[in-house]
Amino acid sequence: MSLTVGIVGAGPGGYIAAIRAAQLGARVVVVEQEAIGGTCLNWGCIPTKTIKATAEAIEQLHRARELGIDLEGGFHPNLERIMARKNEVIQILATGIHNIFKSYGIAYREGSARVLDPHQIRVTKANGDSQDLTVDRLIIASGSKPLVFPAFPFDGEYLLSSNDALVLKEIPESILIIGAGVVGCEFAFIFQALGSRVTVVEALSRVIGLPSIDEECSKILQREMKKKKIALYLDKTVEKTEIREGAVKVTVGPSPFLKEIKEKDKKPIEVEVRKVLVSVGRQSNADGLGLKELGLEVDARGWIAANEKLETNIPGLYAIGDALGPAKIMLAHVASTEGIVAAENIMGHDRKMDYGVVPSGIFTFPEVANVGLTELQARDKGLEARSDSFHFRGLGKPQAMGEIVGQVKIVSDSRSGKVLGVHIIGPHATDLIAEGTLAVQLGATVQDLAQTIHAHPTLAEAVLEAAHKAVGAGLHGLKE
Amino acid sequence: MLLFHKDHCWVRTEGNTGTIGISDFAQNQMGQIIYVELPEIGRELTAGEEFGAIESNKTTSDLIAPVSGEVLEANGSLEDDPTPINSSPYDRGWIARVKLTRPAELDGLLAEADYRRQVTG
Repeated sequence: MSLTVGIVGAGPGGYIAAIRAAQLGARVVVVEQEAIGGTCLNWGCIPTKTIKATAEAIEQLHRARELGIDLEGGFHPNLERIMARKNEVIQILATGIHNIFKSYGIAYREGSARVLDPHQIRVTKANGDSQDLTVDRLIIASGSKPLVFPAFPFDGEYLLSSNDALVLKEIPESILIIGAGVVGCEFAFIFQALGSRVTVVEALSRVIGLPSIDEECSKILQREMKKKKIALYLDKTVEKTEIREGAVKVTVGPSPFLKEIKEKDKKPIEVEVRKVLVSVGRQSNADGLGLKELGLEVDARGWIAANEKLETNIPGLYAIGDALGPAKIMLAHVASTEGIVAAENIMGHDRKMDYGVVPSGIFTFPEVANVGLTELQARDKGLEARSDSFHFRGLGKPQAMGEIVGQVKIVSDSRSGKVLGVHIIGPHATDLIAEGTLAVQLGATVQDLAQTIHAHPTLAEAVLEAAHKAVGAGLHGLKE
Repeated sequence: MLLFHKDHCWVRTEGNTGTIGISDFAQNQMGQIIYVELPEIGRELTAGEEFGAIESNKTTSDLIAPVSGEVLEANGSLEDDPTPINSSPYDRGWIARVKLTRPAELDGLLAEADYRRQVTG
């Protein structure tokens, strides 16, 4: 007799887990309170990339003259149509998931879930009707939502969450973004391209200040912000916001993370903007599921504890995705992989989740992507590491495209040549990282990369050149 | 008098103030300059350390401070048009003016002829 697997949440963790469990013979029921595809499809990856496509087109139009196009009469973005297109793309992809579910006989129930016990889920629809489902195994994939920062509560009008930013009715004349993390930086470039005057305030000393992000990537991205006249305040914090007469007066002061505050940095800076976007992190979306009453182990912030098999402390109950919190890397593709691992374990396999080789992509202008260790992280692990970089502008393809900013950096073990990490900033970095990911996953060396023929003329040649430098000397570079 | 740091920036002093730019050799090597990242006013530069970056259509390079000092002024006109760095590296192409904080460092810099000998070696 086949197992019945219940999955709470139909984001990239939950829906992939559903498909995998069904492939392995389970009867599957998925409960989703909002929309199939979760944050990724409805509020994250996909809508932002759809709008980014418009922003990129605008950037291209700004270069019309350089590209040999006479644009008469100018151009301007139409937010209504941009949003309509975004919704169409979401619809196409949502329908795709629904069709896959149908083809596997996966049941989809819309409503909010409450876990009564590890084998009973109560699903309550918006109209109040409820239904209890009986399952043999349960996967919690309830995801996350924008973190509410008590000092700056979202009002959807002046103080926006990233969700609010995706349903704006008009392009704000000006916007201040609190937090230059991944989300803050992506929105900064998008709004700048759409024509907003953009200010970014970051408490750390660099943008995207994650340990996994190479410092040079931050530096180059900061320079691109300067070029685009995005005002960036590093080592600063927003002290207060005052809403009056259709604008927000924002007071910016020194960051609480600063070890010493110089006299000249103490003076507060005042910025007046139409909107403020608060992108300071995410919080668990599991409240209301009744997990605490079940005795499920969670940490102080409500993130669920799971082992490498994705089992929680309650037998038969698994958890995946953003619900596990930042310690387990909150990325769609991590959630999907966890979904596969959880589903396979439920169906009798013995799989462990490996977080060692996880690529990440940041969709700024230009894009940033990385996998594996930075040189600093490698040294901290006691490895003898070296870094070799190659600038895109040394190659034919980026010059032909007119997108020359950025570089590929390969971090490798100085003795064995093993690729430890790859850090890319530049055109299509998020696509190019796949080669680096494969290299790190397979334990390839810089020699392997250097001996692999790369098609010409392509952006991927930058990886080849960086590998050549690591084993001797680059070919498209001056003799050193 | 112009004094040069081995990493290609020059400084010209007037009293306690130093004007900084990149050498003719460096601009020639880099080719057409398309962007220069200027230091912020008030930033404290340390001799031998990076204080900005310069990009040409062929390459990018950090700007290395020839002397230590506090930035008094930056050549803002280069943000929109960096071409004077190519056409007038010692005059209109100046990058920043600093208040010298360790004037003794000037003794360690190179005269133009010595710098030229070193880079063309």
